[in-house]
Amino acid sequence: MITTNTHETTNGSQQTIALLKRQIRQVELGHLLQPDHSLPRGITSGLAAIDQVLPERGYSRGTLIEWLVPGSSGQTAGYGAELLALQLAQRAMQGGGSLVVVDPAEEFYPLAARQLGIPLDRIVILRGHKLEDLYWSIDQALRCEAVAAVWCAATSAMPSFLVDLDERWHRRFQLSAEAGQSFGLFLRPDRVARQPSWSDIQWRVLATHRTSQQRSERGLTEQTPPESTLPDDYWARPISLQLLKCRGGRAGQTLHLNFDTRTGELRSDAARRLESLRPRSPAADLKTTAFSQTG
Amino acid sequence: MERIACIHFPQWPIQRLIGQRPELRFQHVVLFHQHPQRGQIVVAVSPRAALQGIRPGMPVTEAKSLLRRAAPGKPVAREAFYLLPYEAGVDREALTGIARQLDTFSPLIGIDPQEPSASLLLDLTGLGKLFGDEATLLRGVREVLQGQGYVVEAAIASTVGAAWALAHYGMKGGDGWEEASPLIAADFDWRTFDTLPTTALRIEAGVCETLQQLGLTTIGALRQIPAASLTARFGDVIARRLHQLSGEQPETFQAVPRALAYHAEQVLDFPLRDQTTVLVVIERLLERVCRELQRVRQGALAWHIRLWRAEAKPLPLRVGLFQASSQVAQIMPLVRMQLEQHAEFDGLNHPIEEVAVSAESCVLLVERQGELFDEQPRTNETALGELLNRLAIRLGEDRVLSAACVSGAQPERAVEYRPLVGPRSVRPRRSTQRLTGDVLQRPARLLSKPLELAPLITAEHSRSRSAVFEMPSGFEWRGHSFQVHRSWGPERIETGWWQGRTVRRDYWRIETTNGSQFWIFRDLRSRKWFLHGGF
Repeated sequence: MITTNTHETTNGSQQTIALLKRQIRQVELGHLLQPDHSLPRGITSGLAAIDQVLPERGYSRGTLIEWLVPGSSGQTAGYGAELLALQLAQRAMQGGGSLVVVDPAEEFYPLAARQLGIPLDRIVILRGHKLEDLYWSIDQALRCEAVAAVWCAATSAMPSFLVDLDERWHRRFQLSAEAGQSFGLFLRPDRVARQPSWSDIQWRVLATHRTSQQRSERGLTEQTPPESTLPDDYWARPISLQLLKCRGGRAGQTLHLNFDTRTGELRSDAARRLESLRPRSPAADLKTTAFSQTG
Repeated sequence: MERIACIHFPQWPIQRLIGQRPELRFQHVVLFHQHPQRGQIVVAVSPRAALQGIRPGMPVTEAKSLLRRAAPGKPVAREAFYLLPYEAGVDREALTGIARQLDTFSPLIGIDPQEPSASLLLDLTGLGKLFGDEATLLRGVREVLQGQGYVVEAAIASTVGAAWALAHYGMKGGDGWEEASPLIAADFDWRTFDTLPTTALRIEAGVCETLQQLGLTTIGALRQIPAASLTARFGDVIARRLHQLSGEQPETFQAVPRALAYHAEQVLDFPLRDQTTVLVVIERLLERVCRELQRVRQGALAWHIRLWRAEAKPLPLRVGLFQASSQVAQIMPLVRMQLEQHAEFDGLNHPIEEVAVSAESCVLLVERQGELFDEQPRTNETALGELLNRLAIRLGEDRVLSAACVSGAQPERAVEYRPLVGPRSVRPRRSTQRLTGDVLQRPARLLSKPLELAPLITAEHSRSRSAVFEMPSGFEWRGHSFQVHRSWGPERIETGWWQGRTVRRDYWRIETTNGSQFWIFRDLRSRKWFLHGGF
């Protein structure tokens, strides 16, 4: 059995009904929509440290958010940006709606999204080989009111996808996200930071550097000890973020976070925050090269 | 006089499987079933497996030993072999689908009741002239099937038995994988059939074996024996089959019920070159079909539009839907989108002479009252459906997908992708599974093909660690070198032999010195390390 809504109305009456809906909602929720109200209007990131640097104490619906990841090859995997974007998608979907994943390289693995609490039945995966078709799909999905978020990542399998992003397409994405009140979640290589962007928020995911001392402290785990005896550090996945761009937010701020792999929650990494405040020698800075290019 | 066609699909279970999984085309594929007394028995084998001496009826253990025996020192050792369960129901269902596709050639199409089913029977009585002659009709059938990659053997005769015998044993095609020209027997003549083996009579394998032991290998030899003697020894089965073959005893077959399809067509008074007028014709035909559907409260998931052109092949259009519909306003914009993508429609070099619209995969609609105030925009299925319909037109139905977990330890095979739009669509089930264990059990990005790592093993590393589990201290990927800082694991993943080549891997999540995390594994067979994903 297929359920369908056969309620037919003309365009004019639909617009009238939509207008009435908005007006009634404004009357009912007017006090919540006041700008000076203390409740956040956006979606919380799940971590106060992130919310504080964003203008509406969270992510606002109808915006484009970018995570710029180290590396020049167009491959964005491995730096935790996928987790952050999926976690935000999961929060955006709590009010209903689907997650549209644009995946030309067929690399997106839905089981990771399920582990973060996103139901598989609400994920739509789009594939394609033509850049124009993919951008058109992103635009259409962002504009759809039944879509909560659109997730897409640059990939070395299609080097120009999201890297050489035409400004007109980018602007269209922004307008569509505004119209559909959906989130556009883009993972791009950090070399695009120099390009003009229509994204509302740009995060740079920073490569961290582990010294040999740190390595010996943590070490490779040969035989995993009992779970109860493991320190919290064992379960933490460190991620450092720098807010490159945010309209009305505190751009330039750097956040050191830990992603708790047991619960999927984000926490501030207080130790690294303190460490980052200490003055450092130029020589130390030179050592913190994230990776060396050999090719 | 009756005219019956038999279309035989040699090695049908293998053909069907390769059609669905093209990657198996050049592999050793063996299908088996569980026999109550004999255990696992081979039912069908691919040509490549047949070269190793594997035959239907052979125990699976023997088939495996033949594959292994062929392996040492030969290239086949590195090739995969697949031992898969035989799925009679799926094979029959696929044949039913093909029968429905061929309904333009005959109104009565049935599936050969012999087990395992591998043939279609078409009643062509009086239909040959409509296509010119029977040979042209049969050529049309073969073209449709060959276009889908099937190998077929076809014959037309005056009885079901004769058509079946000619299609199965009258060809000169060799091992059954080479196409042979179709046979058309105008009138029944015993001389045509006397040389055929007794198995062409569709009698049980056990009876055939006994007949062979008695030296009765052909139908002609069998006919020399008095009918009373045969009946006394084997019952009436042989006499009945002989009579059915010659037409002395009538034989019928059960036709596949036709899929309910709604159809409208219009032959134009004069050929049209104007796109707008063609669209108006399509819209009117859609309205007619939609009215019929609305009368029975149904909607269709697939809409086919065929534009017959002067001096050119017909232009087929297909519109698949996420939700069944019988609303012209919903379907017509998608038709326009579909037409915009056809460069051939742009110029209309060949004028349109006839337009046909048909609706398929019709289902009953349930009407629901629209809600005025309480409807959540984000749960608006109609909006989502409209989006998916548009995406499917632009990207293709097989590129708008849902994901579902399937049982399987191998990460590449743990997720199945299914189309969301069109008649093949599968609506994803609501998942209620909760989170358990480590959130980072699986990476967010999985390489479709694991990438062999070039390890960077340092002297220090080789002294301290290689004795334990030989994890490389670093590796190179896409021109960058990564140093392993810490790791979590191993998680052993093994697959069963029935899924093809056994996979045995130890997976590790590693963190590199620049903070990136990857999913790598060591293949326990080759002892090589592979990168499989990023967290």
